[in-house]
Amino acid sequence: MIKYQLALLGHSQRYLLPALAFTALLGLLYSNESGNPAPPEFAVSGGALTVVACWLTITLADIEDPAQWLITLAHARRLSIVVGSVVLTVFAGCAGLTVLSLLWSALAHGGESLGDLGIGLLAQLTCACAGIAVGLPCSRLLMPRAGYTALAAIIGVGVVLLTPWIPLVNPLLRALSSDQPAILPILVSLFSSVLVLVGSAAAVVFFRPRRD
Amino acid sequence: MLRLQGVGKRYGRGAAVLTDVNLEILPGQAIGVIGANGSGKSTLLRILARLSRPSTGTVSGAPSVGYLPDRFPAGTRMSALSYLGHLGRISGMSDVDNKAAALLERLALEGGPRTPLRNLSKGNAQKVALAQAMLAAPELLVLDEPWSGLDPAAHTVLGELLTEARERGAGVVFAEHRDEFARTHATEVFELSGRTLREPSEEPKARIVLRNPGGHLVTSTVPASRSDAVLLQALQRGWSVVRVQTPVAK
Repeated sequence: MIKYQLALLGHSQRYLLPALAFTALLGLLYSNESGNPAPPEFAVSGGALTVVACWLTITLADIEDPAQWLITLAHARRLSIVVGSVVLTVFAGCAGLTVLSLLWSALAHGGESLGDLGIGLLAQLTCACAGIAVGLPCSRLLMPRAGYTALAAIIGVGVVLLTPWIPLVNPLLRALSSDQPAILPILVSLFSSVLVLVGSAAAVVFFRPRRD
Repeated sequence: MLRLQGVGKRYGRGAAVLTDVNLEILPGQAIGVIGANGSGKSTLLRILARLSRPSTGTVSGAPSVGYLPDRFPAGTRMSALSYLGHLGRISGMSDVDNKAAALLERLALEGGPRTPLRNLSKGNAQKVALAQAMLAAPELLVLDEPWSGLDPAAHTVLGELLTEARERGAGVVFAEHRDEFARTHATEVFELSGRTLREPSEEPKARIVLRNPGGHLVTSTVPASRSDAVLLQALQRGWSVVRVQTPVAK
């Protein structure tokens, strides 16, 4: 199922714009490297990855025509399999972008400590989970119109990026931007992002059949 | 295999599309559902395929389902063979590529199995859609207007495929506009009218295609005994007759 989703995404080429935008951001971020510490830069790339994950989730969930989507669902037999495959496919894509980001950072800094790389890895995968969690209910799986999708996604991503008391992305970005990034807020954000992602997928599986 | 009891369907707060539908599908049975446009045939088929939940009533039984929607939008660059391969693997099939290629060859897909889906004509896209429904040899085939867009040779192949499916014990349910097609290929025919499923009236139907003064084509299915009156009325109003299909009995 994940292979099929990757094939759909690959053939449609609709992954190109978010992937290129993320790569361009990395290019800007690391173009004038002059001894900046790595974690604050991970905050920038992590924030961007939240947007990219949400974008890719909506793209992939909407990629098939509704009639073709019904065929896929008939073969998968369970909606949870289809939704799970969207989550895992986008997560795989975001993992690839995370690797690119970490490699670029290591090259720009002339090597990176394992601690910083670990923090970067956790932070970016947390942001990917949060972005997918926002994107799922904003996609056609639950939203009946494209206008609602765009509005809900902008609001959803804005809330997780800018609200300090929601323990998803904002506290994580703040922790990365501080002089001494603490691991605890990062782990709290990772745990809550995974929890919200599971909740988001479960909500889609629960509410979608009531819409059809 | 599958049983619908008192099934009704309503989308949101709109009017009911189906009310009190009762139907049982047995292995080896082929059920044809006839009805006018908008009578709820596609909705009923989606409920049978377990792709839509009824608003009221119960659906019992969980056979594996091959589903053909009323239209197949083949908009991807993926090849027909690759598409079928993916769906076959999702269904848990092995040796899917050979089976898919054999099915497409039997349906005589124009351009071959490696043709991108987006390059297919409507009829050839319908062949791929039929192939995906039949590929995994499901226990129940749910086909929404399966003959739509097919050439005469493919009509024959589809008839053979449906017979083979029934012979291996699969149930078949299909929707169709045309009485004659439904009666030819089904062991039982039901009519969906007044939002529920009924035994069809015995009177044969005629299918009339008219062009209105605005140039638009309008298709109507009427009792054969009334076809002359309908045609006369249409001509008097300035409409032109494009095609009339009457049953042999008329």
